[in-house]
Amino acid sequence: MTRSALLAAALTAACASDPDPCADLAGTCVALRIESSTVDRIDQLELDVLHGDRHAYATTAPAGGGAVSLPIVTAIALDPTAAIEVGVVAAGKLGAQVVGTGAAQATVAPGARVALTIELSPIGACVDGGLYCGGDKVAGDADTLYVCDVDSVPKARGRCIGGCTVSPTADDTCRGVGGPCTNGGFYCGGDELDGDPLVLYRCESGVGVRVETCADRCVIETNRDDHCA
Amino acid sequence: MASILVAAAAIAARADTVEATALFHLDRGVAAFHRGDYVTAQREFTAAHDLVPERANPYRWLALTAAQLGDCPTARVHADAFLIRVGPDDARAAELVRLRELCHRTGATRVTAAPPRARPLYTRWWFWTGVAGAAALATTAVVLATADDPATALPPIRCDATGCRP
Repeated sequence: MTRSALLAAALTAACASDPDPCADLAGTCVALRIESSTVDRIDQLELDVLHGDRHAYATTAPAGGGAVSLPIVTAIALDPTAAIEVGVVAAGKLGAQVVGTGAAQATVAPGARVALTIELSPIGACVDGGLYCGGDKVAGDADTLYVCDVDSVPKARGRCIGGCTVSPTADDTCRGVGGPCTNGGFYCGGDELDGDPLVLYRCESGVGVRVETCADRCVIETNRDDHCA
Repeated sequence: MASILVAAAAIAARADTVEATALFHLDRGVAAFHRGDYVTAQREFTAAHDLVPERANPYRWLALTAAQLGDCPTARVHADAFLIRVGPDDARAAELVRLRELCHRTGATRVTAAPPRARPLYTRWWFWTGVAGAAALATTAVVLATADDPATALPPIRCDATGCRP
């Protein structure tokens, strides 16, 4: 073995110390590494996962209980049938208090193994229940609208197809694209009218009037009314 | 007639022996020359020359050896003797012509190499090996000292169309 090979082996051994969280999982997997320069320990990790047009929330914690030091790794197993955007917002908790949040996103193809790293930072001063674009007082993707939960991870309401607009005096909102909307028609927020992408609106004089909040997601259609799924 | 043939054979045999002996001394002289023992080389070349004084090659070696010993006048004499015997077209002539010219110019052409200097450390094979090894160890130590602790693995989450679950 050459001297350079020995050196490379030493460096590799030193750098390859993290376990692979996807090692025991078949199929599509996102290996998630959580680190922080301000948060030392957590006892619970809450994840808001936006995968494709679906959104879900889950919690994981050390198998033996108690708190663990950062960094930590975990895996998110997915079953996409096509390449999808995956956005992850993480909240580290210690003693039921959120001690840091962060976000990352990536495009994930079926069968792919993707590594994401999230840096937990001190939580912003968001108003509980308020809507925020990612990066505006909540961690997340700048083109995704989140609802603030001061006791947990910000929850994604959905991606804004036309971008997310920050408002200093009211809830942030998804910018409507393709409008103006047709009077009497039904639209998801962000589709031809400004609004929350998880809410179905009725168009009145070009403005959306809230009809209902979708339980799962709001589906945008092209030649007929949008609807909740 | 028979006695003449015997005498001729004896002379021929003696000549062969002389040639062989001269060659033996010449070979020993060349070996001594190459190892830098010019005194021994000169003695051996002289012995070869004494046995076959008309042969050119011992003169060449005597000239080269005399030059190495700093005896330029002797070197020039032997060089001349060599050149007379081989002529200017001999492949070895240029070497001796140059030697003779140098002797003529300087009066001495002691071209013996200076006592070999101690080889610099960086020319020793083990020097760079040691440097590379030390660098590798230092780098590894720094990497290990600054590397993050191994991350703790938390149970995975599985997401599908119905949601995400641990």
